[in-house]
Amino acid sequence: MVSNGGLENVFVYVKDGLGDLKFPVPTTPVVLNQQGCTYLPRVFGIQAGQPLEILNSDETLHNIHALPANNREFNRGQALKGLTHTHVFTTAEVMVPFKCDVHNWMNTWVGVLDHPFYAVSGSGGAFEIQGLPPGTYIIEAWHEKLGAKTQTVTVGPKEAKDVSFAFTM
Amino acid sequence: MILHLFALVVAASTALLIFAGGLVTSTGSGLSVPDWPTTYGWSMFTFPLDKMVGGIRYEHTHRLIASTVGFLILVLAIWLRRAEPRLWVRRLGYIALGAVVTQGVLGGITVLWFLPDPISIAHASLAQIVFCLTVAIALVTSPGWTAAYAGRGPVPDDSLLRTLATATTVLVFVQIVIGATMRHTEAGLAIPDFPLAFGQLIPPHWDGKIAVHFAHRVGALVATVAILATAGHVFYRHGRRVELWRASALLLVLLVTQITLGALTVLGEKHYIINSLHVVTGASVLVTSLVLTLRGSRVKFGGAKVRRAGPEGPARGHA
Repeated sequence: MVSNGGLENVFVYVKDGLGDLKFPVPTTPVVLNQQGCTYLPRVFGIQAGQPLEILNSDETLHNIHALPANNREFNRGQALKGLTHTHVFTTAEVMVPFKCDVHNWMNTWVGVLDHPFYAVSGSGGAFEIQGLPPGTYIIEAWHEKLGAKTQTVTVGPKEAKDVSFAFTM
Repeated sequence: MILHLFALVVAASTALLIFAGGLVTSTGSGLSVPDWPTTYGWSMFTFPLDKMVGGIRYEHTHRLIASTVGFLILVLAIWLRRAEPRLWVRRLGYIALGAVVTQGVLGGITVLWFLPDPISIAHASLAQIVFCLTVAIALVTSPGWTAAYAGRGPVPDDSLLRTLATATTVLVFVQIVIGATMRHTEAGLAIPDFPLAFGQLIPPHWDGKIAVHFAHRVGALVATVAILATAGHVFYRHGRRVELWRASALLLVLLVTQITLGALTVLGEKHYIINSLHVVTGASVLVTSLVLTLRGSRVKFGGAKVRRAGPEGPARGHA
């Protein structure tokens, strides 16, 4: 979706440059909601090992079918409103598609990373990645239809950098 | 006679099941019910109708029809065991029962293992064998078969007919397996134009999907030649044998229908109804060819007056 000239739902993340740094894995779950026969959010990120809570807020039933390449595939049914299912991805993988085989228009994508440096563009295409240590990084921006673009960015101590990606429609 | 009618119902139910299975694949609904043998935790038979939405309508309906067909084949096998004097026909019933049970398990595994191509293709192929078995049982329990088609004179002992018809049946089966491979590997539109391939007779570039798709087209040509050869032989040599030329005529009608549906499947970008009709018509071509093969081989099953190979003429012997 384009808003104010910017592209929403672009997953932006540090693809390379963090070396062997290890980062704590949050225990707070990321929630993926099925509401109005759509997935909310449409694109999101999570860390490997962090719980993903999948919620059915609809009066109808859904199945949650994840189609990863490197993680374990799963397909769970949620027949009733309010049911939840928690899943943990074990391996970094960008992106893992989800679909509902009952409602074939329902799709979502999750970027599974082993670090917390990612964001999803919002209104106007804006995004922000905070707390990145000083260094040189390859930043990738991924869009479900338009593919991926990368840029190399060097960040100094306490420095903020503006990065923008241009996609051709 | 009642047994024969029941066997016909079972065979027709199996055709319906194959159509329903085609709908599941064509609509991408194979995993819309993630559990098996339950449906979203319910018993298959108590799953609420109001929850049959989206892809569940196709997948769950397929399971219900499959369960019904399985039950019907169980009844058929028991009925044959009690009422059928011929051991080999009773064995056909047992084999059909074993095949449909295996088919059900394959269907469950393909869901639980997320539609692995080899299992899905095996599921599609075994469905054809189950259909062949039910049709064969319906045929050999028919009054015409039992009387060895005696009302139409002695049955022919034509080895060429048997060879042609058997080869045709085998070729059609192989063609269906290639078609199932094409469907389950998402190669149905790997060549997007028809009758040419990327505007040429031979695809100018290749990959696995294009190869499978092109193999299915070549297979269609081979099967067409085989069917024309068999039907031509029947019309030329056995024009007075109603049981043979009727099956041949039906085979030709089905062949034309099937080729048309195949073309429409590509040109219509795999519309799910056309795609599913293509699947069930292919199965109908197979079983019609099988019926022709069995009728052409009637002399080998005993109890028939025999006429040796050659143009229509008087009987020369008895078996």
